[in-house]
Amino acid sequence: MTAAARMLLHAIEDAVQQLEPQLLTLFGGGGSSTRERVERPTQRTHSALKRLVALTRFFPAEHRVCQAGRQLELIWPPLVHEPDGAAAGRLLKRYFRLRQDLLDPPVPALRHAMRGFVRGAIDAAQGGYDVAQVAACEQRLRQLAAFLPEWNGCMRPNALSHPGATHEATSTLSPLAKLCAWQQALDATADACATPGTLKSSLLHEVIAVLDRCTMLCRASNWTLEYLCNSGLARGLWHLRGIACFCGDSALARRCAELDDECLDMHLTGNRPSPALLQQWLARLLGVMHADATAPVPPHDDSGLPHPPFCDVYERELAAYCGQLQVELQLPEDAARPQTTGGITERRDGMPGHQGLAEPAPCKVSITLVTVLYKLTWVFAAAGWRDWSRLCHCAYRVTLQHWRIRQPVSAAVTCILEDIARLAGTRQTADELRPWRWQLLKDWPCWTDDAQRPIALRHDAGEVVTLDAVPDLLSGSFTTLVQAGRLAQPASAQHGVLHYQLLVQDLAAELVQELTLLEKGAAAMKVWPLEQLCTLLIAVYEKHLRDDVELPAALLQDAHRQLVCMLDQAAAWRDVQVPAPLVQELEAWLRKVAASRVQCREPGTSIAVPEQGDDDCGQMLRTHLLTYLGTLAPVLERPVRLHLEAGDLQLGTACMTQVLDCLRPLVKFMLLDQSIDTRMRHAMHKPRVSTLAVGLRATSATLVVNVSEDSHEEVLAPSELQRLQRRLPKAAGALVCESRAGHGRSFTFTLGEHASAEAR
Amino acid sequence: MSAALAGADDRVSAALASPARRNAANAASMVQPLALVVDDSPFLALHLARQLDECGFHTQVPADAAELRALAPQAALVCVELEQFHASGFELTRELAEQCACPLVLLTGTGRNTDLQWGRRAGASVVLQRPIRAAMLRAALAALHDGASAR
Repeated sequence: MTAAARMLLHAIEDAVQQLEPQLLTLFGGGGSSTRERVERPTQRTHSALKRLVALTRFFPAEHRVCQAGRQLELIWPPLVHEPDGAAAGRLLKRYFRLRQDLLDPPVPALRHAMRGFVRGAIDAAQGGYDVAQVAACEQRLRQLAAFLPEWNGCMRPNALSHPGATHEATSTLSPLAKLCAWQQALDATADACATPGTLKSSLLHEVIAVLDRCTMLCRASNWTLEYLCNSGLARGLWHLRGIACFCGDSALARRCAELDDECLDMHLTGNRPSPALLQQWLARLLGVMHADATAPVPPHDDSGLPHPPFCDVYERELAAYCGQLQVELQLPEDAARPQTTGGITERRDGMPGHQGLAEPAPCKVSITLVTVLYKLTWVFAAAGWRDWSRLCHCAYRVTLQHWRIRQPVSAAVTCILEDIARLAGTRQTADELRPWRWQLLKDWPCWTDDAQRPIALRHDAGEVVTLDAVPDLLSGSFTTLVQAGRLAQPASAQHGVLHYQLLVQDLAAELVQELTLLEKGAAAMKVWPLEQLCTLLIAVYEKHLRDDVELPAALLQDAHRQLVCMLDQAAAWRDVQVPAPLVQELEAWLRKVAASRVQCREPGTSIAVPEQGDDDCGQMLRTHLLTYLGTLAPVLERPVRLHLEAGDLQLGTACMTQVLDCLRPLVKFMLLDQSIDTRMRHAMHKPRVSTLAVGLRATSATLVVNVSEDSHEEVLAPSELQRLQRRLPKAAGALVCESRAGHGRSFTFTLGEHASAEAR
Repeated sequence: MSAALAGADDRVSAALASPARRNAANAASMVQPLALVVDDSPFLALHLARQLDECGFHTQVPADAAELRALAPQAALVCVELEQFHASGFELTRELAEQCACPLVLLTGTGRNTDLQWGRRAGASVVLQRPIRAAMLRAALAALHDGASAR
């Protein structure tokens, strides 16, 4: 044979290998009774065929290759005109006869083509598994295998009997694993030219496909939702692990299990995997294909069940949790017993309806139930029940969210919680549990809009964060407060009360700053006991800073200790209790200090403002207003914060008296108008600090006084405004009430020329 | 602390303190550092105890607050679960940080930044996120050991 002919034969061999994967899919199974649906020929296949035939024409007309090429050309019209494959069985046999003429050693080529076919089928199956498709693929492989001389029927690949197959792989044997068995059988019977890494290359395909899915998931807007409901990633990882188990590659299987765990963690924590992490995954998977990995031994064996000691504790613990759930949900006596038989689908037609069980009512969940679900999540995860773990974590997140916004969970969620108690740990597949996760996600309470709302914390520094970032900001912010709390602990308070008093006096300014931030954060997160204690402590420290009052060190020691405990509770998402005696003592101390500084006067008469220096006008005005607010405090039953903005304004004594006379009735009206609302909030355990802002601005002719509040937004009716105007002194100009959209309302009035002249 | 441990099941202690195990534990405790696991879930406590045993510790799960107080000064490591039924792990960690000088490991399943930051503020040396893997645990313990050596 000349060199040219050898090169031509190599080219023909390549052309056949290129054509064959496309051509084989066009042949039917060959059964004459059934009209089987096969794929339609494409232009690409036709081009590959024509290229092959063209190569055969370089040989002389009487050469077997040229004749085979001519015959091969004749196969094409029936394939095009009989797409249902009725005559395909005959055509297939004919094709392989021709193939033997085209290729000198046909068997390795056929084996190679079959491996390519299996690999293609594996690739195709990654998008989603269809049992019928896999069965058809297997049948096709058997047909092709009949042309292999070593194929005598006794070496058919049987996935279940393969020595490398573990129980984990075979009990939930995936279609991929079945195809993989074929590939392994082909490799085992292949001659020396077959590459030993063929199987691993198919695994590599699988790895890349998994990472592709992960990349797609990363781009999804809602990672958790995407993972739970459309999770090709979870399925891909699971099948990858199944193949690795089947092939007996324990290192790879362990690494896959680790990745599956990480994937589970990603879902459980709601974190999105970063591109760097994806690279890391790929590197680890590629690395394990060449070297053994040292991975931890999971607490369960190959059968998926925990080791005996774990089994023992697990069963009893699960029973204890079910009991807790029974108490929480008030289930019937026999309802919370874990069952080991009967699937979900047998008991339930669909969500959220029950068969044979009464529909539970919506109920409020306690933090204990939330904690139960949290524990159950990790118990299942540690025991290897990943699907149940995912479901429990989903239930945990949903119930936690309901608990945080004090909403009762819906009847559907209650049903699912009941069923978790009944069926936890039984062998339900991911597909069976998916409707439950769907239902839980559908009942996710609406918190997103609120969480996106910007909260002005540390507004002095101009920092604005969203609501969900508040806890992180708070937990990283308190240095002085935590230090004060630590020094207030009995173990550290060795130097006595006096030392502590000196300490907090030195740190008062920093403490006020941190307490103000904490108060705003607590208000934003609706942790009202924390907010209340902060408000009181701020009042105490402000009193000390303003009036140089001696601080109640023993009381503050107790308060700081309590505050840190409350912060611990709040940071762990637990119910925060009000330290009632402490609050009462602090309030009593504040009242006592305020009473000692309030001057008695006749009702209705002006308070004579003492002469003051030019530089402390704002401070004087603030002191008088705070004193007035202090007298209103017992009536108001709530704390009021005062913001005074007077700039560099200097007021004369007469002018200040006039301003105070005008402000007092207005402030009283504003605060008392809120009182009903405040009581309602108090009853709902949602008290809120009212903020009163007073602004003074002098123009050339008048002094403009603006008082705003953040609680009410309703603009007063003209008749009400008139009544209020009558309560103000005659010096006050026309009173105007305006709404500040989303920020309460404000009252504005002016004082005449005399006041303006004094205000310089 | 008593409230926090009221839910802890003594079955774990019983499991860990079976005769054969107790003998082995007594022998082991002579040479191995003591690790305490504070978790009201017996399964998770047992799981973590196994992992710590593999890392070379002699692990005990205190059944109640009195036992924890008695053992804490001798412990070389204390692992505290953040989410417990009757108390938050932050409180326990803070209390233990006042009592003993050994490293405290706080375990959290939520992985929030708040857990990490506030856990450190409470006195935890390390905050680990569940699921706890042996490799992760080993790395954390190595870091603790290196930190202690550096001091």
